[in-house]
Formats: sequence, C-alpha cells, structure tokens
Amino acid sequence: MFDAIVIGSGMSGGIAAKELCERGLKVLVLERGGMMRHGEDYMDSLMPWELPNNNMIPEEELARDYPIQRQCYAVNAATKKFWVKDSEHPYTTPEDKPFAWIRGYHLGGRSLMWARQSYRLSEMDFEANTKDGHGCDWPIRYGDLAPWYSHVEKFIGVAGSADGLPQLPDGDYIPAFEMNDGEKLFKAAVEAKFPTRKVIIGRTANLSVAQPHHEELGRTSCQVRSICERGCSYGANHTSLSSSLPAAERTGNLTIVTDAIVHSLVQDPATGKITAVRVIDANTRAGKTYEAKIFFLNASAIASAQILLNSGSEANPRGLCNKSDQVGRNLMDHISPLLTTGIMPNFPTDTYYRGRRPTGFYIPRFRNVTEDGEGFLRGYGYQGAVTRMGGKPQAATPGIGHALKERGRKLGPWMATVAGFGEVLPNPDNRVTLHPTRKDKWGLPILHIDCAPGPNEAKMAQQVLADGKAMIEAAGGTVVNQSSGPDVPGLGIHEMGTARMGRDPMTSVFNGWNQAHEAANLFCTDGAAMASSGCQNPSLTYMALTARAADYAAKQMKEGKL
Amino acid sequence: MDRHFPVSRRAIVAGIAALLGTAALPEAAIAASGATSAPRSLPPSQFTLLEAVADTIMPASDTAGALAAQVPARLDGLLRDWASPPTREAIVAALARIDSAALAQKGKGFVALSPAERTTMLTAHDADALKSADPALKSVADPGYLRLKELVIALYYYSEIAATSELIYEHVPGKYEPSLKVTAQTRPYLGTWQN
Repeated sequence: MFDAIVIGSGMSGGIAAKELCERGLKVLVLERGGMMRHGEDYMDSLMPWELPNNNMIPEEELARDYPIQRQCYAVNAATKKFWVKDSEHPYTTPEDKPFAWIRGYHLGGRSLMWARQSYRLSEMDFEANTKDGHGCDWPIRYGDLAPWYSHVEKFIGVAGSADGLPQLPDGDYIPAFEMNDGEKLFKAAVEAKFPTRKVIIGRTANLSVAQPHHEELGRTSCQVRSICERGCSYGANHTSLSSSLPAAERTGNLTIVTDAIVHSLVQDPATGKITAVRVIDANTRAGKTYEAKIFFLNASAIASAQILLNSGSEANPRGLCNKSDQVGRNLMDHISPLLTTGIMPNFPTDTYYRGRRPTGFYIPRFRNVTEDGEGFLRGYGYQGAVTRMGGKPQAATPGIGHALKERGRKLGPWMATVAGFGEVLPNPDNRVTLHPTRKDKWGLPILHIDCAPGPNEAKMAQQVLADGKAMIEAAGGTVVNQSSGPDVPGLGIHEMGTARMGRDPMTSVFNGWNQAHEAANLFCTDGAAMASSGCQNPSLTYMALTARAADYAAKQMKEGKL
Repeated sequence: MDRHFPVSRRAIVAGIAALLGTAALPEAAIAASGATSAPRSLPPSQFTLLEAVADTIMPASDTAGALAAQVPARLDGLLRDWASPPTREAIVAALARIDSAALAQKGKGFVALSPAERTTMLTAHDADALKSADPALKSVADPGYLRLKELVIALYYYSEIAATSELIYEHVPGKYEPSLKVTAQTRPYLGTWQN
C-alpha cells in the first residue's frame, strides 16, 4: 500500500512525485511506457555525421509507424525512441476533422521533448471565461497560483527577464539569454511603431546559469547546443529525467513502475474514495492492482480523460467522476504556428552571433489587452527569432559547383520569423470519447477524437497573420513566406481542458484544488484540468497547479481528511 | 531499491566526458559514419555515375568536395537503408537522365566527360530540372533530380570534413555570444536540422 499513486511520469507527473515525496509520502509512479535513463539513453553526444541515415528515419518505417508523429518538427532519427508508434497506438477521428495526437510513451513522457517555453497565465486569463461566458469560471485566480509558479520556476530553472507586463506576469528567473543585434533592431522597430506591443526574450526552462540546487541534482549550465529534444546529458533543460524524478528519488520515498498501462481507477461506492488502480503490464498483458490513499492523474490531457471514461461502473455508466458529463469535453489546442517570415534588407550585415540559443523571442498578447480584437475574443502571442541566412544552400535554387559552394559560404541577410499561438475557446462539442467497438492490443477501448477550431479561431488566425506581417514590415522587412492557416489541431501539442476545474460539480470535474468533486482523494493536475487555454505555453501552469495540489493533498492527508 | 538517477559527481563527469567524445563511440555511430563493409546498393556503373555527379555538384576547391566527404558512399547507404523503393527509383532515374543527356549532347556518357564538360552540361540540366512545374505546389520539372541534389548537399555539409572546413559546426558552443563583428574570415554556422 502506497500513500500516493501518480499516474504518468511526464511534465506534471514528475512534479507530483517530487512534491509528494518531499512531504514524506511513499509514492508510486506508474508509467505506461518503458524505462528511459537520463544520459545513457540519449543521442546528444553524436556528431551530425555519426547519426544514422543523416538523422532521417527510413521512409517506409516513417510512413508505416509514424504517420501522425512525423508531423511534429522534432521527429528524427536521433529522437525516434521518444515518439509512440502510431501503428501500435491507434485512435480515430471524423474523416473531415483530423487531429494529430503527438505522444511519447516512456519514463519522462513528453517532458523530454518539450520546447521549454515557460510563461505564467495572468489574472486576465483566469477571468476570461466568466467575462465572456465561454466555458466555466476558473475556481482559482492568479493570486492562488502565483506562489506556486515561483516555487516551480525556482526548481526547474527558467531563464527570463522581468518585463513588468500585467498580461504576462514576471516570475523568479535565472539570467535571461540575450537577444542578438537583429533581434534588438526588430524589437526597437516594433515597439516604436506599436507602442503597447513588446518584444521580449523567450522565457525558457534551460539553465542559463545552473544554481546550487540544480547542481545538487546533477544538472549543469546550458551549452547552447539547441538539440534539447534529443535529451540533454548536461541536464540543462528541465525534464522529469533530469530534474523532478531525481529530486523525488533522493527522498527515498519513490517507487517507479514502467510498462504499466492504467486500465481504470476503482472507486468504493460507499465512501466515494478511489481505492486502487488497475494496471495492465505492457509486455505480458498481466493484470495487477495497486492500492493507495491518494491518486494523482497526470497521464496528459487526453489520456487522463480516457482513464476516467474507462473507469465507469454500474453506478457511473458514463465514466468515473462524470456526473457533469464534462469528462472528455472542451478539448483545446492552441492554433499555431501561423508563421510569417521576412527578409530584413535594412539590418546591418557586419554583425553575427555564436551558439545555438535554446529560445527565441516572445511577443506577449496585445489583442484584447491594449488593442482591440478585430471581431474575436481572447488573443495570441508570438514566438520568433531573427537570424542570419546562409550556410547549407537550398537545393531548389538552380546552381551547382563552385558557385553553389560560394553561395553556402556567404553570410546572408537577416531573416525574421514570427509564429503565433492563439487561445482556443472551450467548446463542449470538441471532445474525446471511447470508441464503441475498437480496442487496442491490450484490450482497452481506443479513443475517438472529434475536435475542430470554430469561427472565433478562424477570425483570430487571420489577424495573427496580418499582425505578423505588419510587425515585420514595421521593421523594414519584406515578407517572403506565410502560413495559409493554422496547422491541424493537436500539432500545437498543448492539449487541454478534457476534465476541467470549476466550482460547480454539475459543470466541472475537479475543484479549485484539482480535487475530484466526486472522489475526494483523486487529483488531476495535467492539461485536462485547464478551464481555459490562455495563449501561453501551458506546461509551467500544469506544474504550478501540481505543486499546489500536492501541498494541499499532503496537508489534508496529515489532517486525516483523505 | 534500484536507483534510476545516479547524481554523483562522478556520473556527471562521466556524462560530460562522453559528450566531448572521449568515450568509445556506440556501434550505431560507427555504422553511420559510412565506414562499414556493407555491400554497395548501386551496381558499379551507377555508383561511378553517382560519383561523377556528386563531384560536379560539390567539387573540391580550396576545401574538400563531395568525394573527400564520402558523399557517394553515404548516399549509396541511404538508398540501401533509408529510401523507399519509389524514392530509390526516382533517384536512380534522375541519375540515368543525366547520363542520357550527356550521351545525346556529347556522344558519350557523363562519366566520360571532362570536368569542364560535366560542369557545363550539369549546370544546364540543373536549371531545366529545377524549373517550376506548378508554383502552387512548389513542384519542379524533375523532382527526382531535386531529391538527389538535396541529398548530395545535405550529406556534404553534414560530413565531418565539410562541417569543420567549409562551414563551422560547433557541437558544444558552450555559451551564447549575441554580437560578433563579421570579418573576411567569417563563415556561416551549420545548424542542427540536417535535412
């Protein structure tokens, strides 16, 4: 019997394990995928010419096993082991509504491949639902989460600057990475033309300067290699393997079981409490049950909803904790990347930079903050960078021989890219359900994902592109490439909302402490719990919610209330 | 209990030593370097043609060219280990079209041409092959040739010899320097997105 079981070892599960272990609880982490070892399982030490097939996955294998995952930019030979084989983990969608569910099943989950951008939600984000009537009101406000944002930022190490913006609160940061000369010019030009827009350096969970508490865990400073998604043997980016699970393990309170696919949660009908987790061994398919006093659901937004839906009983035919019928609904993923790229002919060609900085810049939301939304609700932020062109030449441009080599050697003009990430409204019709007939190879019902952006998102996307073009032109640039619209939903890899927090048990699944309305000892602190999506990259918020809920749960347990 | 996360000083130092290349290379790395004895994928005549084409696309100058970078052998390895049958066929056909064009224009195969003739002929072929076929689809007249040229270029720049002489590749830059004065010696850095 464990004190706590954490389902999932990724971004939020790692923090749940750490926080609960540090409060003296004996914690079992269940991971559906296999073991992954920090350092020794990474390919980050290989030079480019040492990577198999010039870092490409064989074409037939890619088409057969990774038709969905291959749409993610970070899929290559060096990262292959971090992505699920779509051929082994099917789901369905309506034919006209594709959804790309990007996943990694292994210890550490997607925390190994995340893009590390770490932004706080603001008061405005927590008030958004109640102000415009979409979704249900968040049961918490910014002030409830602010100390936990700090707690997590200090632990994981976020390099960033304090910019004093109400829509993007400052955090507890280690030194920011610097902008290059092109970015400084871009920033100056954009801020001059649009006085209420700001171009700030990205806030990223890479150790610009490792602090003593990072070094105690074996983490060292970032070497600006920007191959973070291969796994970083320096431990310079926060992942479950470099950071949260080692912190949990050093307490002596952690047990990890991998290859453990959660089938369902068991609820005691008399007390309403969860008593156990039913697990299927991924290799032997043997069933096993683990018991504990409290349970943290951190399987990722869609998978956590799947577990609840699959935990139905006679008393709860619609699934566990689903009297509200909100489990599986309100699936959101930021519309992205809505790219605009421009050449900057006026930027000086006598300056360059060195190193592959692991972040770009960020343009915090301004629509419906300091500038009106043009007929849409909520808003968007941009990630971007300004870099020098040149290097490996484009094959599609005619030319061979010495001329081609010369072209590659020549340092090109500055190029600016901005990529918008837009908030998506919670919509109960965007939902995941258990497939009525199809099962996976472990006998679990596969998911049916039915999700599409609505009219607000369509209007917003057009404005993201128009504003992107205007900012590049304000800096004297010529736009050379632009997205026609957002990518397929899912490719933002920011899935949220499928078991939302709220005050009312009839309209939400978890309360203001991420505690199930219908099961006091069940907590969910991954993307599923999000009542709205903001436009900020969400992992930091999941981690802050997790730390706050773990603190609450541990206190409640000590007081004998759970 | 099994410790998953050794965090001793020794483990960190060992990890960093591995990153600096002082530890033994994994077998996969050795295999990927092209220094294997696996049989050639292309028959000798096609391989010789590939050598001539790669050498013409990316010739030796004051720096190494495609031959010194082992581009033909590594591309042959991709045809064996990476390419799907349609991709392989498209690349082989693109090579054959270059040879046919040489025969038609000069009365001898591409391999038999002088270096200057190869360059003249392939420059014209390259321009024709890369003409836009459908601007909306960004497709070109000879997609097989484009794929061949892309692979030659990628394998060249991501070879050890080119990455350390033609452009600059630093596996571990160590720190970010946001502003450096460009000099006559400045060369662009090679990024990490290889293809």
